[in-house]
Amino acid sequence: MISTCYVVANTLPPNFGWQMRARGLRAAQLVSQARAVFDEVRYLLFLERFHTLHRDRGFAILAPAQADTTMISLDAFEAFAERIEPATFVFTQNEFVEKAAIAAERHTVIYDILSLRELSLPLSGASEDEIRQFQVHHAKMLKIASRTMVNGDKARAFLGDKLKGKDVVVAPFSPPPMEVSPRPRTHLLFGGPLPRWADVTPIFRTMSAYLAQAPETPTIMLAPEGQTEDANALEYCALWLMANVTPMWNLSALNDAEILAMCFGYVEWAPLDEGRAHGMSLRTLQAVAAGVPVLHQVGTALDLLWDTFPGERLDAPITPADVARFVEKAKAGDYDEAVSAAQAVLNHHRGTPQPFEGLTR
Amino acid sequence: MDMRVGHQTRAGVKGGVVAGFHDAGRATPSLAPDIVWSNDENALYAADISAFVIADCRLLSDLTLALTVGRPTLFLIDNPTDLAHLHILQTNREIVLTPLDGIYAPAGLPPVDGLREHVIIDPEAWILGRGRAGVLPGALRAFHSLTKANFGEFARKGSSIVMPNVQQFWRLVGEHGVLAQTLMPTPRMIRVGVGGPFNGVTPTLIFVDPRLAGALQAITLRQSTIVIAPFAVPIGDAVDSLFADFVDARTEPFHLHDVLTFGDRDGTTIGCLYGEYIL
Repeated sequence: MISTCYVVANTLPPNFGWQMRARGLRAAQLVSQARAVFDEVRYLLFLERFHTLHRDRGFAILAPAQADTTMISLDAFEAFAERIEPATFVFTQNEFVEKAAIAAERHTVIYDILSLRELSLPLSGASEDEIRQFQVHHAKMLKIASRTMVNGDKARAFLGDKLKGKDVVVAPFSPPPMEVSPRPRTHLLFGGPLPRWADVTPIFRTMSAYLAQAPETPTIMLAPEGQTEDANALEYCALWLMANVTPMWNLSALNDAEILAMCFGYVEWAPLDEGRAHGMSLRTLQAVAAGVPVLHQVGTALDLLWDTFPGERLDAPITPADVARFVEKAKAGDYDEAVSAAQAVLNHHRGTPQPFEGLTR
Repeated sequence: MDMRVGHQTRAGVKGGVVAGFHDAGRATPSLAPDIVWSNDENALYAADISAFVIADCRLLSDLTLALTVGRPTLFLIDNPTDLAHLHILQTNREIVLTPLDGIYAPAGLPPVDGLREHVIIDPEAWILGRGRAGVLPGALRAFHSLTKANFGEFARKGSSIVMPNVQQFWRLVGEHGVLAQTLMPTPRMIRVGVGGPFNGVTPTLIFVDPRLAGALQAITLRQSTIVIAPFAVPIGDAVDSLFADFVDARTEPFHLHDVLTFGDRDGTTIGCLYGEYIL
């Protein structure tokens, strides 16, 4: 019997044509790692999710001719799971917990905890009901999963007792970078999430102050425009109006890689809070993978991954002087060694089949 | 009486007042002798106006700016605040610049995306022609017979097209850049292929004159790319011949998303095709 692994793709897998910056990257990483262990590895995409993403995408999505994607409606999953030979299913996060429970009756289930939602949910304004529902789903996933993946040792330590007696593997998020031709690194990148409930105005004011002093630093501000009623909107607009700032948002995967290749440094505006310290920061990871040093004011779930942080990590609010120092050092190449070492660590994690080892007989 | 003709005479090419607006605190701009200047934005609501010349756009309320939907408008830009203000209005599509609208900057203008296609060098010619100073190429000249209100209506129709939710980098193939904002219903677009720091970024969208569809062969596509092509075909000709030109131009599948038609003018059917090469 051949061994098969299905990686449930929460967003469109990378073989579905034009992608946004972050589409399906975790699934792509896990598929490539699983291929070293299983005879056959497939993306599994629920039809309902496809429809939602299709609407979001606007124009056409080319349904893949690739043979490695299975699309199935949520209702049909039970029959599907009963029919196929025993296989391994990877569920990232716990949104499809009912399907995971069905799969667990005949198959091996891996619960991939990509980010610690119990920390980010309350900070993002979720209701108590939502938080309670998350906890129930989380506990259920932990119970039915034969193996649990965590994103780093920091997340493992945070989950602590909940993982006691479980088969736990560390699978740091290290999405494959997109290859683009090298170009002169002329711009500073400023970006991050624009949370409605978190106050990120201090870092916005810092950047305004820095960029007013440094008109010769062309800067790309990467974020959706905040709603005008948001607390951050005023500061956002102040930056947008500066002659040396170009606002952009929601880049395609290729354009994102091209823009990163134009940048000598990345200032992340994540707020100083515990959720962020354990959060994912895909932007930070993508910047480091693209060779761009990072300045941020709080860690990520991957802090323990690198011996030397590829850039600067401050545990206090960033000041204009911090940005000026970071820009100077980044331009001088002072972070190059640390960035290369960090890239090598990410490459190593992306290349290892270790998270899937021992699952095939 | 043909009401349509009457309307065109009032707000159209000939006749009517060119109403200027400027800040009370500055001298009246010396632009052309026949502009009727005022510091009071209420003066812009008069019925016999055929074009606006706006010198201090930062001072106008949203309600008054909405009047520009119906009249050709020339923005006079001579300070950075008005430039930033106009750029925001344009980026957020609070105003839509059409082939009939112009921007005149006596001291020159940095190459600002969304504005650069509309910069004119001869304000007198613009005022004499009530906005008809530019020239569209080839068959697209039929668009010249449209009024500002027609363009506003096309912009509204075009806004119903669902575009991918992504930062657009667009490239112009042809010489019809002044139509871009009317027909490309996405705010915040960055133009590539005209120099500047983002010159080499791969486009997500190509705004092409359909006569040049063949030129798309020579472009390297590295990601799915939207194609927007305004057209004016002889009345009765099938629009699908344009579609075939795009299908033939490349090996990638071409998905036709929508074709909007805006009516018949000068023996042609005017419209715009929205499609995408899918990679």
